[in-house]
Amino acid sequence: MNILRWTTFPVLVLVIVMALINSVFTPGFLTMSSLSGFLGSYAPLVCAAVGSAVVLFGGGIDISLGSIVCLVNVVFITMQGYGWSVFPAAALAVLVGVGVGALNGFVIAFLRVNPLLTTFSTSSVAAGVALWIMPTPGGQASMDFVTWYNGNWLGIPTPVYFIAVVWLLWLFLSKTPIGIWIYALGCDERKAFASAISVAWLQFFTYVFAALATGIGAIALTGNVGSGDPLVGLPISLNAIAACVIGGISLMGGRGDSFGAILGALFLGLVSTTVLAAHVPPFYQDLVSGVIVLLGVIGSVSLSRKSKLVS
Amino acid sequence: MNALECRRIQKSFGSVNALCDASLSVRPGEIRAILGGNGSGKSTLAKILGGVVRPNQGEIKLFDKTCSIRSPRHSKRLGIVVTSQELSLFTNHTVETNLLMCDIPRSIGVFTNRAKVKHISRQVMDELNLSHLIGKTVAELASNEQYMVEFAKALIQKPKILIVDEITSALYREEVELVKQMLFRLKENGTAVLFISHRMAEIYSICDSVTIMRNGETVATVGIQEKSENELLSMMSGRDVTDVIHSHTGSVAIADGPPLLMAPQLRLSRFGTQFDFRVQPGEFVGIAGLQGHGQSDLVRTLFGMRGPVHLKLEGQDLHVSSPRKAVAARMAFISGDREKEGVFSVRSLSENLAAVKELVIGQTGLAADAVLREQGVKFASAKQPIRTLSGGNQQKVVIGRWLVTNPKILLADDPTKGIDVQARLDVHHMLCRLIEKGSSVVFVSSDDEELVQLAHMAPSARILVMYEGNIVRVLTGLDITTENIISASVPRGAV
Repeated sequence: MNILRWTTFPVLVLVIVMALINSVFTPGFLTMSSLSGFLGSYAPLVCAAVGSAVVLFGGGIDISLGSIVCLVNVVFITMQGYGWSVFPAAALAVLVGVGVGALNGFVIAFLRVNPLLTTFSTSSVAAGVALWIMPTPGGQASMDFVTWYNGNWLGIPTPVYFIAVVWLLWLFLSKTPIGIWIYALGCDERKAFASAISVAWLQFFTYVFAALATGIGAIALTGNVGSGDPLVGLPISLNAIAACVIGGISLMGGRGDSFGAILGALFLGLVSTTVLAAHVPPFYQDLVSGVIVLLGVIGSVSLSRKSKLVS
Repeated sequence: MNALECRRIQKSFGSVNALCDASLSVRPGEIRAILGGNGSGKSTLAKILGGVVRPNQGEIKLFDKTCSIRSPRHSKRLGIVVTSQELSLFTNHTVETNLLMCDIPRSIGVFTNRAKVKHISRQVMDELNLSHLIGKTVAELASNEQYMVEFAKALIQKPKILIVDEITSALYREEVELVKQMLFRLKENGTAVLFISHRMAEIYSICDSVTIMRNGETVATVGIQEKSENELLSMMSGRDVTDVIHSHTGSVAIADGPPLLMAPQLRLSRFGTQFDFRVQPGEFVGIAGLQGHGQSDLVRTLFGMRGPVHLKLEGQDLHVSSPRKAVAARMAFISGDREKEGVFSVRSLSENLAAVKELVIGQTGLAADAVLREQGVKFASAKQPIRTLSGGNQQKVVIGRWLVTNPKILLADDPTKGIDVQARLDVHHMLCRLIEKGSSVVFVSSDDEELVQLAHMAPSARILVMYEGNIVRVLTGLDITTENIISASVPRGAV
């Protein structure tokens, strides 16, 4: 494969460059313990980005993933507050998140409503329910769980397992016809329909998958912050999509690969970490990281194909 | 027993009748040509059989059993395979994945069996001499290769009824020969084939019989040896086509004076063709041909929509790098696709009218009411949103938008598509008034009759007939007839 035409190549360069810059400001950054902390903070975004990527492959878009993170987080914490142990509480919380994904999928695939409008609305619904369950931040996750998440398991930082589970789920699917069909759907919905592919069920499925991946990410996030907060996940909605685009995944559907989404999310994480480490005054942090991300996006787009007005 | 029988199929899209009475029956092992002009309903019929479009009325029988085809999936289960003129291939997938898209082989019932995908594709692609394409994505293929893959995809599905929609027009001679051999093999196995094509030579060498369609109706079905080409073309156009007309071969009447617009070595990038194109002052230039043979590309290229282009306008060099430059040189472009390229649907009539003159050229002071009345637009107030008007009136406003800029040359890409007869006549009169003022009009139309009418209304006129990206015929004076246009659109003996 021609490496320059590999859609993930630009983001790979970006991640390496950003990691090097970061290790200049934070000399110990590339050590195991520092990386482990970094992954702990950004595993939730990585999981959501993989979910978001699958929706984009199929030609859709989902801006409700951040709200799903909030909802899963508060349900997880609340159930633990009722004395549920970690595993059943996490399972129920993820299931609730998947429920939101199923709602998205149903409205978009079967009622044929525009995905942007649908997920915009359901994101308010999910965030509203999260706020209703837990009006103010609070609660506490089981200490065992928090310690486990922030440590190593079998010699590998625990957050890596969360990323791995989500990624393997998708890799498994991509080896089945479903993977082929999702890319076909994203390439041309009408042709997919004419090729006897079950377009509606497939669309439904991508949104459910995105919610599942995000739900798993939300459990990771809870392990990282250790408590419940109805607003904690909101930035993830757009960051997950940005991660995908930086990772070379087309918003028009049918193009890119999930590894790009993972690297894109890590790039966003590296930018934030670097800006913090460089002691940029808090007032300018958003500005500086915004400019870096913009440059990164321009760079990655100009390395890949151009979008032209002239046909 | 008939493999396929259609009885009185009727389909309308809104107020447009795409098919009003299509009936035909095909036996197993028969290759039936479907011949018809633009808008005769061939493709709609193919889509109905493919399950993409549902008929309003009529009965379809497959092997003497009545069925209503509910979806593409259902159609495939019934053994019908349609190759599409627009191709059904996914450009982001490899050739072999595309070939097996409709029935992906699996290992242990779950995973895609890549080895088997490759193996099955290789078998078919070997027979078509195309095994070198395996491993490439469809986006990397040339258009003739894509059409061959489309055909291979149909073969892999082992159709009982195969509908080949205009596949050979993109193919080279050797490829057409392969397609023919494959169709003959299917025929031996009892597959019924509907072969939609415009190429007479192919129809005669491949098909057993031919059904002629006109205006959404099947007018006749005859054995292929029973009728001559001219007889078939006459049936297709509904008039006599005689050999006398064809003896007259493309003489170019040269109008007086220096040309208004010259496009030396104009290149149509989609076809890779090149030709000189010119327009005289006050001339009507009609562009005819079967749909998709470069007519639309021609006017769009001139207007800078296909990238930079070098023109000579009134003897002056003109580099048109974008439509904006074209407008500055007083060119105008009207699209037949009102929704996408014409109206700003939620804005008012006056805003729609002023869009180019005020916003692009920067001249103010447009008397909207007066212009709208002059163009014969039926409206209540210039402030009403344009979407409240009928399609025909919307298009009059769009044309008015360009007329108020006093264009020297107006390019029109099928501007009267889907508007009613009266509005169409109004549009014709608007264009004639423009020509009388000394401007020129380049007019693409899928309706040959419309071109003939317009040509006879204008003081000087030429009709250029396009085929596969080239101008194959120039009609002037009394030669401008629908019969001549149709016969030039369907080059005989051409492969």
